[in-house]
Amino acid sequence: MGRALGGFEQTVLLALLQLGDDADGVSIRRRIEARTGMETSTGALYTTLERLAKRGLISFELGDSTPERGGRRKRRYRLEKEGLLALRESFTVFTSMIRGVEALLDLDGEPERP
Amino acid sequence: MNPPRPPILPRILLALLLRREEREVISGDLEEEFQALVSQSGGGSAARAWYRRQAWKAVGGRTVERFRRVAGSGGASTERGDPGPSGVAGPDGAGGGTMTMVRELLRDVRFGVRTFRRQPGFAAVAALTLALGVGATTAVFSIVDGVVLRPLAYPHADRIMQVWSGHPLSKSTLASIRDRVSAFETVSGYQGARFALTGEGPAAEIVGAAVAPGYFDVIGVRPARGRAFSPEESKPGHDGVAILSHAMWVGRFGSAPDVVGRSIRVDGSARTVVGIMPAGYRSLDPAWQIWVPQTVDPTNFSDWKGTAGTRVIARMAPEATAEQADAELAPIAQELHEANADAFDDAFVAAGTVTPLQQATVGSFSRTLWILFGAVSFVLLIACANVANLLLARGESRSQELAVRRSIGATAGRLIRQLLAEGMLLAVAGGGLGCGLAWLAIWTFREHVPTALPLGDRVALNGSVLGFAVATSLLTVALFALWPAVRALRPDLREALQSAGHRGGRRSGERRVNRILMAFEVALSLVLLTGAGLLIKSSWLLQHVDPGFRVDHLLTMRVSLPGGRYEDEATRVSYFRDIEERVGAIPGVVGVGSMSHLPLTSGYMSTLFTVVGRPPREGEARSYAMVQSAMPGLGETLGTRLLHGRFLEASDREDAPRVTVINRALATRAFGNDDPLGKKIELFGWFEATVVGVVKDVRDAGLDRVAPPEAILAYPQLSGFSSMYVVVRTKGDPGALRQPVVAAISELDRDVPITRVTTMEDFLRSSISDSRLTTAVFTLFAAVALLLSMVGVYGVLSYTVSERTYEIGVRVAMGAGRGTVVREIIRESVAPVGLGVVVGWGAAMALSRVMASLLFEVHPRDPVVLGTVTLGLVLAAAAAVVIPARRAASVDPVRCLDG
Repeated sequence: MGRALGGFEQTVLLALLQLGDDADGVSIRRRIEARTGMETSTGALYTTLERLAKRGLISFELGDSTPERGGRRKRRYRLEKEGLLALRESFTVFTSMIRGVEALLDLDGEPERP
Repeated sequence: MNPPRPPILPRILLALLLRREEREVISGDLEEEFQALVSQSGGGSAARAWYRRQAWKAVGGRTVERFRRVAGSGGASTERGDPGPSGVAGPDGAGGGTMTMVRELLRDVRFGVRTFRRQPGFAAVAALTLALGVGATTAVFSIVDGVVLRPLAYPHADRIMQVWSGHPLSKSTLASIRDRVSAFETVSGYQGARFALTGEGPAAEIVGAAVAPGYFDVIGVRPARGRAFSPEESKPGHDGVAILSHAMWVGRFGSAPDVVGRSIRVDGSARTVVGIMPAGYRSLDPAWQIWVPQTVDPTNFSDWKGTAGTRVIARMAPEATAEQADAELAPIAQELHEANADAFDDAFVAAGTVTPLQQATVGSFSRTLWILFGAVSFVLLIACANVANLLLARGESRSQELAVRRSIGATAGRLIRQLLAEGMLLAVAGGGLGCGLAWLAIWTFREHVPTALPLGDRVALNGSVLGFAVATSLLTVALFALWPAVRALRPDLREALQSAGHRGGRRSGERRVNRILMAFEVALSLVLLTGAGLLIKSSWLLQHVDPGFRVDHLLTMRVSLPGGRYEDEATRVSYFRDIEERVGAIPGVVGVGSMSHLPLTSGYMSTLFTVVGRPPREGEARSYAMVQSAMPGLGETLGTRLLHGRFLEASDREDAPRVTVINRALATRAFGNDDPLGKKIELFGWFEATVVGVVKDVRDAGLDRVAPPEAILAYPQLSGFSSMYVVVRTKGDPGALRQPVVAAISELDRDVPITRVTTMEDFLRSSISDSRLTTAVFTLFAAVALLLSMVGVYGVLSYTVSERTYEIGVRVAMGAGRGTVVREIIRESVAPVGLGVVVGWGAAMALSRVMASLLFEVHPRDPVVLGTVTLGLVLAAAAAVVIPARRAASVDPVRCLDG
């Protein structure tokens, strides 16, 4: 299975899971920003995407070029089975470790999320 | 209309620094989001800031990643943790590879510092050479950035167009553009003007503009206090309003909150202040302090159709394109051409119709700036070539060291990184010094030049200029350090190890590279020298053009009569008669004259003229003449040459028959070979005057322009001009009479502002200051280029000699003559210098078209210039060659073989 996923790697994989097969760099970045509220650097995103692709967790193909991209083509990304497994493992690790200590995180002390 | 583009520098960085396969997707993503942001936020600046931030992060992150991959090959795994510098999650943990890399980098830098401290001379020469290149290039870039690249600070400035830039139009043409062109959302126009401001403190002359309705809509900036002009206020009689600049409000009215609504006296008549522009607003001409409505009166033929002085600007409609505007303007262009083929010639009809406002404001300067930028890039290339030569020679002497280190196990990547770190050190030192030089140059520019250059006040050492300096420094590292580094690693280990101990000369490949670089430097210098030579000749010719009058011993100044009392013609005329009398009485004054248009300046007034009794034939082009209104005595004072008839005289009074003195251009245009004396011409459609004299052409429109047809009228008979230039001819130094003359005039009436007091010689010099400045800067670049390249030639040959000392010693000991040795060294330089000259000629020829636009009456392939420049270059090269050659000849065989 290889090593465990990093935090941002999880975020990116989850974004891909949400977006389905129609994900490209722009839509992934927008999804992450919309959900987390943090500005995300395109450069960091691609570094991570490349690393995930190298590990076989995701795959991509070159798409069409459009005028608003100045005629440049885009990459379309897809979550592979391996990636789904890695996410599942991360989730398992997280949920098994969090069990019993939720109270310590003092989630209720935080303002409710919309 | 161009869509907004992301900022240029980040785009260049992305293109340069990203790997090819990721460049397309990443810049594509950024572009797409940029466009989305532009259409969301409406303004380009937020989108540009976002793009800049993202580009920096992308370039930074990706470059570190790549470097780590290269550096860490064989080392610890790099696949650990997040990229770090910018990811939202932040680094999950610093990778071991990163730490190793940083440690190695620091070690390389320390090692580099030690190496340079051992050879301080080498390090200093290399860093200074780079500093010169980077500094000069950055300084010129800052001007290009401020003037050409940075968009005007108006909302959607890229949609503001100037219509037929360079061609002032009549008010009727403005109206028909407004009615007929649907590609424009708003159309307006302006006419720069000077106003006399009286009351409220001392009389002052202020500059501003009369603006057509909708002007502030086109610009997109409205007054911060009060309001813009209403369309009603362009009707004659309703135009008694004004808008002030923020600086004027603060400076003259002490930021009084009640200024809006107050009445001020402009040109003697009352105007109500209706608005004050925002503090940050920068008008098209930064000197503008006041805006008044331009009056429109279609019933006044001369004002409506006959006078062309309005510059038309327009804001494009949201979906419209420049092509659409061109197509809609084409029939209007044709009509203008048919009405007046003189002013609107075939070139006018063929040329494009709309120009982005910024481009139109900067005009031909942008071309000059790009040419200077090209020239300074050559200087930078020469500097790089020099440093590459130095490093190459040094790499050669270090090849043993490197070979030894490789043989005991250092990897090639390790050594390349070390050499790159050394190059980087040089670049940092050179780039830092260069930024200092650039700062100095920009400071000097800001102190002395900015007003001579449109938008020159925006030149500054800002973020993008610094970014450019950094990028240039990095680029120079790639050019001068990487290549010698790679070469230094190539040597066959055995050969390098064996050559330890004695120095028998280099492989031929090394020498070939040295010579190619030498030829390259010579070629670039020759191109720059040719450019400088052409400009110097052109500038010299321009300074020796016969202006048509005697420029020496003349003092000039401008007096602007406020309205009120001076609205009366007789008062105006007697005011100038009084000036003549009073100033004429000052000891040392030989003659006094007054005129409405100072020679050597563009922006004169011109009008239609016809020969009375000879109506224009069907289809005949109508003719325009420049109008000069002058007090009698002007001709004698200026020293114009009278060809026929007489000058204007004191007897040409208000009630006397109307007369005119015409210049030769007008005489030829109107009368051909006939005698014009006694014939009548009609001006403005109503003013008939009898020709009483013909004078030699005066260069009225500028030293570099052929004189337009010109009619000089007597001021008493045409005294509509409220501001006039007074010219005083003096016996001695005209500057010395400045004070008494100004005092005598202001004693007449303290409410009349006297401005632009200058000697005619100074004025003539300033009228060609652009050409002189370009020439001076270009010549400076050429001189630096020559110096650098000669240092390069000298360096290469010196190195050759020192390297061949042993061989020369042996040959001299064996009986070779010293002459033979000297000849041999010289011969070594002949081929590269010769090649450089030939290539330089070719390049100069190829670039001659570019230069042509800057030249006055000099052919860009002028053989005299080319010959002189080549000779000078060859002589300089000879000097650079002879010194090392003599050293070769003085090699002492005994000492050399002993050692």
